[in-house]
Amino acid sequence: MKTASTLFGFALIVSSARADAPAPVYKPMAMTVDKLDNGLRVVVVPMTGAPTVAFYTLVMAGSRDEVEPGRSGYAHLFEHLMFRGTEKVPAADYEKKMQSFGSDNNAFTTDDFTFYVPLIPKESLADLVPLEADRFQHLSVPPAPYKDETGAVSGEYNKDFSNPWWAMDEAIREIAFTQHTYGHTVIGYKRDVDAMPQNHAYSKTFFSRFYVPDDCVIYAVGDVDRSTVLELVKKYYGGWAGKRAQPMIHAEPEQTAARRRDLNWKGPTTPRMLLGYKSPSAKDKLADSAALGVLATLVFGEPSALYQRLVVREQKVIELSADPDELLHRDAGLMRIDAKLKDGTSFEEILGAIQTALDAVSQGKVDDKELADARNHLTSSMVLGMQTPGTVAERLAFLTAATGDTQGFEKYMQLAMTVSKDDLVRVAKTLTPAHRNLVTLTGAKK
Amino acid sequence: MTPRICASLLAFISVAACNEMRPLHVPGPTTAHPPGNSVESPSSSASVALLSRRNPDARVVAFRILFDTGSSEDPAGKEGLTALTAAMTAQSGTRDMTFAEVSRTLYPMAASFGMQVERDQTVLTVDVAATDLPKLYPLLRDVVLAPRLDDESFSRLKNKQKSALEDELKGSDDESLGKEALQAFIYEDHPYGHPPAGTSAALASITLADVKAQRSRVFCKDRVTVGIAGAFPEGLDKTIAQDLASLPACPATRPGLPEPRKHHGLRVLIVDKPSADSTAVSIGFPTTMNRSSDDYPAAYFFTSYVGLHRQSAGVLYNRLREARGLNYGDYAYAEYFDQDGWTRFTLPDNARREQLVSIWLRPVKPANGLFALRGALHYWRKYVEEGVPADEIVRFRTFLSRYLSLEQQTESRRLGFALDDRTYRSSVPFSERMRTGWSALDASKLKDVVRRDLSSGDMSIAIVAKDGAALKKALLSGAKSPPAYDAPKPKEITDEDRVIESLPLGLKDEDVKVVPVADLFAK
Repeated sequence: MKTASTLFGFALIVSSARADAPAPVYKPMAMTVDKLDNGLRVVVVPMTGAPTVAFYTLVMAGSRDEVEPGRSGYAHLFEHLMFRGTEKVPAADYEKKMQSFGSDNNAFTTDDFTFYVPLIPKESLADLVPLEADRFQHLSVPPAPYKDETGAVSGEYNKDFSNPWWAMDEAIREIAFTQHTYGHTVIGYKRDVDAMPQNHAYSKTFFSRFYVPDDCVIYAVGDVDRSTVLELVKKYYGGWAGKRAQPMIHAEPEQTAARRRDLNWKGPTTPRMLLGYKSPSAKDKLADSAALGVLATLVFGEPSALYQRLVVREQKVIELSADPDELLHRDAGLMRIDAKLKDGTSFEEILGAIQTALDAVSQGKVDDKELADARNHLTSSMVLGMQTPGTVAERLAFLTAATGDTQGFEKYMQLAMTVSKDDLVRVAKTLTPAHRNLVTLTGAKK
Repeated sequence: MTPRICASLLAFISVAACNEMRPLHVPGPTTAHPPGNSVESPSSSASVALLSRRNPDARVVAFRILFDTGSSEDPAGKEGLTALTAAMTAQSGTRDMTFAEVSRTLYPMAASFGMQVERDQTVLTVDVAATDLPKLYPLLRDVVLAPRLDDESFSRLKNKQKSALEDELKGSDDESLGKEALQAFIYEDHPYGHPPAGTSAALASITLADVKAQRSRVFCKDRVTVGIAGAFPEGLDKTIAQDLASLPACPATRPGLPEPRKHHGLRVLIVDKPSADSTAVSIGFPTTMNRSSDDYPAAYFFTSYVGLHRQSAGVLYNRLREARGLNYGDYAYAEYFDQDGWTRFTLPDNARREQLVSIWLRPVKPANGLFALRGALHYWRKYVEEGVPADEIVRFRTFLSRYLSLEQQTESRRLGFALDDRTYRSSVPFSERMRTGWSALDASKLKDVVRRDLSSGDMSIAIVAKDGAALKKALLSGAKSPPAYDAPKPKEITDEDRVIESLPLGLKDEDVKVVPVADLFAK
């Protein structure tokens, strides 16, 4: 057991009276980070309010780690398999035990990580920890239930792909990433999902590569205290061994020219476009990720000149958005802009308007108050979105996965609160047509 | 990149009723339960109705301004009008500030005015950091009392609603489409029969004058309840209730609802969607039971046992998904249900004067569509007829009683549930009432409730699938529908499959209707 480090997390917005003040001030909330000898990290955040505990496990493996051709979607498949039991606790028993705790139990997968999220009433913690420890160390899924679970994944694929957004997501990755594994979606290609039933052996390989203590972080957030959590975790996870594999993830070469793909949707739809500008790794350049997050908020947010012109006044665009969370990726990724166009609006016109707005930032045309408002919006959104143990754990984990650092959230917030005009100019200069990827979608006639 | 995979987006819509609800039955004899820390006051000439839950330790203030109106009050030929009026209220600015100015003011607070519109309730929601409350409240007051309702916002929001109806509901979300199709089928020629977003033709016909008239008619003083929770200064709740008393009086009470049309046995609506690669199924029937009924705790217990929303606890999930790998999940509900955002919990403040019981199957491969439908009917009927074993009741009660603790984790959700209690005239908080009801539940009592409220064989089924004609033919043929699996199944499952695949549906030609997706919610 190594020494614990105490740091401060987020918490209460105390607010800023001046419009140009450096964003919200925080009333710190205690958060501790401990590391077991086997590399497993344990983050504890006590919260008062509801008598609940989020006992979540972050596995820092996502679709980014699917390196072999034909094996897209396995991080997500694994998210499903983790509910299929161990030799000691078969799936049916696991389910009944989780029910006896009154658990809300689920998981999700992203490009960079997989997150297991059982939320429980606090009195169930001592019973939950050994159960979670068992499945992370001793998962055992025979071929038949493995195949059943691939059926559920196939069902999820079918559910998703009734929405054209998923086809656009698949396309923009393909054109933007020729080498890096961000080039495929989290759920994977249909052909790979269809082949999953035959790949039981490979799934075991995936588990042994990434489901190891030094690749995981446990979050205990809610009505808990550090000593209780540590005692339980040490007891049940202390014997867990293994080191994370380092798969060869190819760096993406510099993009030197604009790329585009036009899609035809199988049903009627208004025209849509998805733009992706190459963006830096949050692990390597967190300050730039924060600056781009503020930039996305400033240029595409509801009060922005661009939004007010295209959506409110001219009404050529029905919806326009850029999610700052997209900037939070472990490796160099994409700043994404999503637009739904009114019938008759040309993609080129909107593309031009967006590029002009970004170029203006790179030329330093930024209003100080608008910058302060964007900083405040970004940081306050994060804090307002963290009202429950689950949402706190999720946000902390998201930043840990992106940065590799359990203090990633705090560092990000500090950076975001101090983004300057010079920072914006610096990052806006990278948002050029040469770094741009465009997917358009048009549909069958209504 | 995709933020997440295992979560589903949910509609922007939801709501309830009070003034003209059918008489709501207050639950039977109970001990004097404290109403939590909710404080209620009725409307008067100087104040609108108020429900407040002050918590000085909170870091946010949550508002839920609840209106007793919804899409059931859309005038004929103007379907979608209430939702558009709600959107215009929240998103057009105020008399003194344009939409752009309101946006600029709200932006640094990361606050935004959300509007949920469902059949019988509309709620304006906003969360704000407690310290920003002085800046937010004047805006909130003004959007309620004096929304701008200008031409520019009207065309923008109408286009947005059109897109939500045509691109999202009909074009991109077969799961929600199946649920709305089910309601269109159950509530044919009924005010609940169209989605809150309306129909394409009706939406096209709506004018700004219609919006202003609808606002005067239904977003009026006697229909509003101020819900406020969290760290607001003492007395502010009453001030707000007084401020909103300057809303104009409602010109008329809410009209009553007709009963849904009756039918016998099963009937099917197939939404023929050529682009559908999988088959979405929703099953349901109307009920007079609702949250205020004595039977509700047991009915909720039963539907949760059969299929608690997006949890792996239910029978349907376990038998259809886990044991057979047919799809992504299968659930059952004792009342109309929407999920709250990315969570798996109930969305509050969408109460209804008339309710429905439903079963929802997430999309299955077309080859297994008919088998999945039969499977859901098989398990539903099995537990309706045989009941839940006594030991299972004990086990599941432990789970559900604890699980319920997780439902109300934020100020806004606690407020929403308290408003629902008020809507259903329950003096006992929802969670407490459920737990009390379950504590007295045994196999015999549960069976009685199921027989009374959940045993209807008169079920409507909505299916979204390609090649509706072929599906209709298969449904009418009565032919077996064996499942196609990727993996061999144990004998216990295959034996059950032989029963399920032959389950008689008893459908005649007039029981199965096929509607092209283009025609659904078109006019």
